[in-house]
Amino acid sequence: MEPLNISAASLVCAMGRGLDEVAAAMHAEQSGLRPNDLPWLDVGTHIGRVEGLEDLAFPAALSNYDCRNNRLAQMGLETDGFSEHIAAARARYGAHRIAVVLGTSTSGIRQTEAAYEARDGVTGALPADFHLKETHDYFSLADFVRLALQLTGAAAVVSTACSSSSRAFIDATRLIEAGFCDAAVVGGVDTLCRLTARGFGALELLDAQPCRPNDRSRAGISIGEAAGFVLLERPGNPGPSNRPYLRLLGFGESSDGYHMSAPNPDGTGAQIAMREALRRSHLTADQIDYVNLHGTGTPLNDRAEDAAVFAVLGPGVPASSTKGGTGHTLGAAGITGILLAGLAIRHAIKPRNLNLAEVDPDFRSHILTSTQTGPVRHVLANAFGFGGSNCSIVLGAAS
Amino acid sequence: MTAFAITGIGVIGPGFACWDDCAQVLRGERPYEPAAAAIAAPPILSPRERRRASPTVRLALGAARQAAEQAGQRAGDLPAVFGSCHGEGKVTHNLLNALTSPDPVLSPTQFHNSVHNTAAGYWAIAHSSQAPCDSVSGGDYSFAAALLIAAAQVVCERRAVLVVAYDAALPEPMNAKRPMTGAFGAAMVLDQRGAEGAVCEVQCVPAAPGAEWATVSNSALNTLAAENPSARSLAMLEPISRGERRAVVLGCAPGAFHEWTVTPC
Repeated sequence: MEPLNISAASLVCAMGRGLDEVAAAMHAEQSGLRPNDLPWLDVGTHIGRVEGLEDLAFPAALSNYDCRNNRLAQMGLETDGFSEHIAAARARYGAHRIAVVLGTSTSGIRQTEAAYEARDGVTGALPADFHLKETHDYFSLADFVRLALQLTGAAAVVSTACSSSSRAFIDATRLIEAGFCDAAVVGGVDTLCRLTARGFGALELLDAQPCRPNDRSRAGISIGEAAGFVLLERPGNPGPSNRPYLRLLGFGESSDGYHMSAPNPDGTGAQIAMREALRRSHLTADQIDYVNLHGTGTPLNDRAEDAAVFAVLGPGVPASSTKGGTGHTLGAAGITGILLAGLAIRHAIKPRNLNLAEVDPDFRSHILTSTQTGPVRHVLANAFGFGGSNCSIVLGAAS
Repeated sequence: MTAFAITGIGVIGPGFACWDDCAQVLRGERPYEPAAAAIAAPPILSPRERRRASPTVRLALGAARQAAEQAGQRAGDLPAVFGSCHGEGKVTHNLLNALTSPDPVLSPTQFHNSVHNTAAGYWAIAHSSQAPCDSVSGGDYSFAAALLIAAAQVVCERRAVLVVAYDAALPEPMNAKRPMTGAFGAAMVLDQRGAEGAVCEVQCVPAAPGAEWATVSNSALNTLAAENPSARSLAMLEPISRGERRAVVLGCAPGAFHEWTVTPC
C-alpha cells in the first residue's frame, strides 16, 4: 500500500499522560500498574489506572456525554497538542473531509453500571439524568470526539473487542484511499468498569499479581485504561502540519474462526494477519526491528502468539509485550501498542518485556528480557480480540 | 465517486422471513403485516453454538446467509462488515443486572458473548473462516456507516465484501431511554462493478448540505426505518425491489450524508 502519514499522536495510559511521559517510563522500565484503588471497582488485583479523570474539567456544552470513557477521551484530546493539531488540519481540509474512526469495547458502560445500581425501586426505571445514547452507545465515543473536535465527516466506532483500535486504522485507511475523506482521526479509548473486571474474573483470566506476559508462570491479565489518537493523512497533501511523526506502512487482518474467547492454538489467524501486514508494507521479516506483542499474559494467548510470531518472523526479531506497564487496555490495546511501538522508532529503543522473571521455556520467538537501544526503522504491532479478530499494523520512521 | 455492484440481499424483520417477502411489501404487492420475526438458529452453527446464539446473532447470521446464497458466494470466503447500534444489547443487560447483586457472579459465556463483534465471531466460527470480520457502530447511522466501510473495502481490495446491518430494541429499562422498534437485519454482498449476477449497481457521492434521510413509500415501513437503525436500509431496498433507478440519501454520521444512486442491472 501507499504509506500514510501519522502526523499527530496522543497517548494517555497508566505509564503516563502524553507521549513524553510514556517514553520516559519506557526508558526507566517503570510499570504503571498498581493495586486497585478505585472504591467502586470490585477486583482484588492490580489495575492500570489513569489518574485525574474524576477531576477533569469536562466540556460544559457536551455535558450529556459526560462519562469515564469520554473523560479519558477528552484528556487524550488535550494531551500532546492533539486538539490544536486537528484544528490546523480542519482549516486545511475542511471539517467535512476529516473522518473519525475510533475503537472501544465497552464505551461508557461504567455510566450504565451506576445507572442500574440507581434504578427506581418501584418502576425499575433508570435515573432521569442518565443519558444512555450519549454515554452507553458504542457510537458515543466517536460522536463525542467529532463534536469536541468540530469535525463533520464520516464517523464510526469499531468494536471488535481487543483488536478494535487496530482495526480502526484499517477502516480509516480504506476510507482515505477510497476518497471518502482526506484525513482521519484514528485511535481508541477504553476505561475501567465492573463489567470487564468481573467478566475476566469469571473467565479466570485475571492475574492476582501484576500481569506477567510471556513469563512461564503468567496467570492472566491486569486490566488497564487508555486513550490514544492519531491523525492519519495522505503524504502528498500540502500544509505545514502534515509533517509525519510516523508512517503507516501496512496492515493485516484475519479471523480465527475457532472460538469466541480462546485463540487457535497454532496462532494461524495471527500468522495470516502478520504475513498480510508484511506484504502490504513491502517488507520482509528481517526488516522488522521490533514487535509489540498483543501479549496479554493469559497462558493460551501468549503461547499462540509466540507460535505465530516464530512462524512468520523466526527466532531473531526482538519482541516484547508492554502490557506489564500499561495493563490490558482492551479496546484501546491496539492504539496503545501501536503508539508504544511508534515510541520505539522515535526514541531508538526496544523496550524489554516488563514483569518477566523467566521466559516460558517453550517459547521460540525472541522475547526481550533487557531493553536495547539503537536504530528502529520498522515495527509491527499485534492486537487480537474475542471473536477471533486479529490485526497487525506495521509502522515506519517518518523519513 | 465510489461505485460497486450488489449481488445478493438478505432481509429478516417484523413480518419478513426473507428478501422476497420484504420486496413484495416494498413493491406494494402485499400489505405490511408486522409480526415478531421467529428467527431460527442458523443450521450453519454447531449444536453448541446454536444453543448459545442470542436472537441478535441469529438475526445477523440469518440475513447474512441469505445474501451470500443469492450471491452464489462461499460465505466463509467473504470478508464481512457487521454494523449494529448496540450489538448484543440483551446480553449486556443481563450482565448489568447481575452486577447489581451483592456478590455478582457473571456467566463467562455471557461475558464473551456480550462483545459487539459476537455476531461477526459466530459467523467466522460457523464457516471456520479466516476472512476478516469487522464490527462497527454508527449509532442511529449504523447502516450507512457499515455500508460506507464495506464499499471502501470493495473498491480498495477489488473483491466482494459482505455487509450485515442488524438491530434489535434494547430490553427495558434501557429501551425507555433509547426507544427502538422491532428486530431488523439486512445483508448485502457488495462486489466490483460489472460483477456477474449483479442485482444492481450503486454509485455514491456526498449529498448536498442539508440533505435529509430518504423515505420509504409505505408509511408503516417508513416509521420502522426511523425507529430501527438497520431498517434505514429499506430506503435503499425499495428501488432495488422495484427495479427502479433512484438516488437514495442516507446518513453515515450526524451531518454526513451521501447520495447512493441505485441502477438496476
